Amino acid sequence: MKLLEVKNVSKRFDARSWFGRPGDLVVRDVSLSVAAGQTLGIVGESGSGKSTLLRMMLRLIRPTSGSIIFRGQDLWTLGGAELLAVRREIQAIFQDPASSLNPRQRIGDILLAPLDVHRIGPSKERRDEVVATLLRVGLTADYARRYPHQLSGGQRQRVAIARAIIMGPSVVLADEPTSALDVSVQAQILNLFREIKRNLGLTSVFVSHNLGVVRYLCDSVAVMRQGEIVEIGPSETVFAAPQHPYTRALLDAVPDPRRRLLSSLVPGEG
Amino acid sequence: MASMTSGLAPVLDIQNLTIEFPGQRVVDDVNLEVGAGEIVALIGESGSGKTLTALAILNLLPRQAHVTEGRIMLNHWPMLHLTASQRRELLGDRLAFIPQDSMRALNPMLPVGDQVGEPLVIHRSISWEAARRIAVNLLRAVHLKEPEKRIADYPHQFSGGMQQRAMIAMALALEPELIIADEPTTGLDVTVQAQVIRLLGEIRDRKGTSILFITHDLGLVSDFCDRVYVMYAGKVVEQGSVGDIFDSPRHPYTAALLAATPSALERVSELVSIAGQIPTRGEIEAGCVFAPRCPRAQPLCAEAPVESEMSPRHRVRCWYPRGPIETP
Repeated sequence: MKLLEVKNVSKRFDARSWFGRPGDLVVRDVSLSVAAGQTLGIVGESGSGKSTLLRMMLRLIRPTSGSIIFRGQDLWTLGGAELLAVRREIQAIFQDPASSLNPRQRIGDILLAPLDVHRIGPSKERRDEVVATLLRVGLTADYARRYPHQLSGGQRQRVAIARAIIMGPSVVLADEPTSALDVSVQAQILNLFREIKRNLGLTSVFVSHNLGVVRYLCDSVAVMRQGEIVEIGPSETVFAAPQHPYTRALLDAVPDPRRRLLSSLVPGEG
Repeated sequence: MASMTSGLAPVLDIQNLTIEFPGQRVVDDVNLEVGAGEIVALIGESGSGKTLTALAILNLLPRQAHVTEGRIMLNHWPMLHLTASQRRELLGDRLAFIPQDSMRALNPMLPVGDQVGEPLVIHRSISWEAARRIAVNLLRAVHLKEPEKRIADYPHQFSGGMQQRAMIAMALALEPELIIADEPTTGLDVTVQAQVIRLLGEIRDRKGTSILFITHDLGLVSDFCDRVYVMYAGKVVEQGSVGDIFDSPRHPYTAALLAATPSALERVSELVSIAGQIPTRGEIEAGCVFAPRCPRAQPLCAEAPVESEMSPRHRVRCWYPRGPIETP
């Protein structure tokens, strides 16, 4: 079942007022869909439009044309209570937890906020839910009293994951959630994300420039270049047998410690 | 490539380098050599002390940080005991630095060509006109298109990759013996990163320039360096050739880093993450710095391990190093 669908979406950021001509299309005529329980990776270099596409899927920016469809409904035709209900189901994790968490709020308040906004349960139960969610992301109850700056990068990203899942969403959209982390911590967060996704049956879209991270987490992958999807398919197919020359160029350019090992297996090399 | 150094004095020789912030040791007893024509990686995660080590060579340490022990020799120059004017003579001429963020390193108010040519005017006393002509050639050498036109451009007119190339061109201007590059490709797209790395390799091959390459990216190291130093929490925990480090890592931290790195080239069913966190300044305990996160830790690890030699030039600071062919 298609849970989330992008239909012929284009985005143009208007530059008319400055130069008297419309800006270029940042995303051009992109269509894709994500089935329930699946994880889609979107990879591309800077300026490829991958983050813009994700922001449109989050209903943060409006497509110039085309539609974003969730459970058969166009996100931009919704309003009021319907929109609030959809917002509960689609949650986001951003790249830099240092700037996406309010520095003046304690972790407990950051996690309570969405429950308060959506008026979920009596306030005592909300606090229990906060503690349960902290435990679920590998933190302890006493983190609720701390401020974001008292946490390491990895711990902050755990809080960001907690904030995304505390509402019991069906979809989590993540934009480069591990690119600010050190390798040893990145692996913890990737494994946590995988575990939570499995346990909660989450559908997710994961934007990254790191092809290794996408191959590890995603069932399928879309490769974007200059606003367009140049290749899309199951991860293992795309990574093992890339069809588009650009996908091949990306894979050739990616630094990877395993390349040594792989090339030494080829006779006549190494 | 490591054989290029045998028998010759190293271009850069760091011995027992110790750097402290008030009350806190952040780099502890680091020994590091870079031979002529060698590309040496200094790899580590945040807080490992890799960048402070590089800044100490350049005398650019933050005000509160001090070298409390050790010496740094660049050929026969004692880098820690130079007068300001001696140091100015060396910087740019014998030793060049490529910083991480070229946008901030370039002067936004000056044309790129002037900045690339400036070292020649200062160190070689040539005219600005001649320096600009050489700048064109330098920019061409780093594969910048139409350098004759681009020298009049300001940094903001360059893309990130072009700015980084301009920094490299500036570093090359006086043909230094050693280039220190601190994460020179962080923030660049992978295809641009590959070009910049290829360029640094070319420079070594053509001019025999030594390069100290500071990075957190294991993949980059395995692709183009000769030897590797792995730092963790202020200490070099393992050093060896690229083959030693990647094919048979002996320190549990090195092996764990490799096992924690996702791959685009190969299917990895489970990344093995390293429990716990990187210690912050002041949290570093006596004994082995990695012991609190180490799966192999034993009571003996409460004492600081001595460095032991696994094979010539492959050294590990661990009481219980892994076997030569264990999988991570």
